[in-house]
Amino acid sequence: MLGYLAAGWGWQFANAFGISILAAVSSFFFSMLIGIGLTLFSRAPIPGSRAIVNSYTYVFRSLPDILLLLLIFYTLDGVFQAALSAFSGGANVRLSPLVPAIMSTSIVLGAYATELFRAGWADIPAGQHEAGQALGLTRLHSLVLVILPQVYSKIIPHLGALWLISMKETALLSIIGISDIVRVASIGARSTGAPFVFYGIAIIIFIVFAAVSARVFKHLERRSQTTAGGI
Amino acid sequence: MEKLIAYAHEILQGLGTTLTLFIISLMIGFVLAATVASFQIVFRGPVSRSVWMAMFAIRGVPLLLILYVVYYGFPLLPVVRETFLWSAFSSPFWCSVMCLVLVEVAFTSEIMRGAYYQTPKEQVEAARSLGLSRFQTFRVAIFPAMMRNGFPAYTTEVIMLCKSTALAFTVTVMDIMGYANEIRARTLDVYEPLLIAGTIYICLAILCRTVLAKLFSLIGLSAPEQPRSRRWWSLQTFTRNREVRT
Repeated sequence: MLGYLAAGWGWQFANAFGISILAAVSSFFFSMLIGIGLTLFSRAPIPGSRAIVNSYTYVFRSLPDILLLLLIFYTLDGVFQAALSAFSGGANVRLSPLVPAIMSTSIVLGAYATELFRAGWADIPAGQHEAGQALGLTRLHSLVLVILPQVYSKIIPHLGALWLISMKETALLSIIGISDIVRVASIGARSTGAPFVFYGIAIIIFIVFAAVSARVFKHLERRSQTTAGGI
Repeated sequence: MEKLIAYAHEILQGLGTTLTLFIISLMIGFVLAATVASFQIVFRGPVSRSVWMAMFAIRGVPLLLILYVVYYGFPLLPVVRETFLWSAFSSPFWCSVMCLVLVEVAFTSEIMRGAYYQTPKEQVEAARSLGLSRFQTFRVAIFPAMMRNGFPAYTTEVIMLCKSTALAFTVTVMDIMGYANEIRARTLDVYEPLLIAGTIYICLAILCRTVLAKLFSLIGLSAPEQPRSRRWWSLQTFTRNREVRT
């Protein structure tokens, strides 16, 4: 195993791990934004907003992630090129395949995050909002300083699960040709004829990552309990 | 429009494969998960701790990677290639079933374990103090609470499994996704086949949710009085007679 790692594959795996982490972090971040935004939207006094958010979460929690990924991957590039040639007359800019990958993962995870935030939000009494306003905070301030910390401490265990899912989702990136961990492992397995070494390395990377994440989120959970809201 | 119908017709050929993949994995996964979870609950100690760690590890690894290992890696082992195992490992369908079962067991056993430990202690103690045996306690006090607590999470897990079956197309199983992807590659039409496949998957998820919700209300853990003939099994009768219902 060490021999292969020293012979250049180690660098490949490190690179792939970086790409996977980048994709996981950005889709996790965007899914949080989608979750918070849609929760606010569904609670806003707009007719039909709840129905829209409900159908969004329903559809994207039932749709296979790989299907959405292929759909976005094969259409986005065409749309992007068409838009580009319409505006600037066909500059030779290619879209990185990471963009559709992060988009589809964020949309799928966003559906889970929205459910999560809505569940966490539902427990917060309306008085908290009013208390924030009574203190003279603006709406944004009372959202960030009063509401979100309480939601956070309620849903932090589930956020850990969501984070793990977003890391696992990055495995799908290999299907559209991004050299993530799974792709490097399968290329290595095919080209050296030692599949168990390469798949083993990939599996170990994922397991270690999951164990470390579980630790970190356990710690965050404990901290948010002792400080009552993480501030 | 005619093209759409032709595509839908072709994609629906994969429905049978998707459904068998899904249902077989669901059934085997449920039974094995119950076994693993009860093992972990009954035998506490280093052995069950290592079982928990194995399950944690499986939960951390993407299904796609497990599929690749089982489908592309295992056939290179002489043990697999030269024994009866080869008949299972040479078929992409059974490889997918094995992987789906593995992942399903890892998640479902944890849901069951979590549901078991969520049962209020007082409820168990009350049942024990009524003079019920351990098994009766489980049947009367723990099992209904487990069903109530675990059902929402299990529903999510079933939908997840239904979604995951789509990954089987990466190891050449011709399921719904397999046919959709084949049409996409052949005709270069992207929207139509994938959207048809997506609609089918959403219908499957709606079906799963409806069936599970129906099942949940049929077991009737909180349902009002029903005529005897409509009871699904004796659980309800039992809980009512003993008045352990919460």
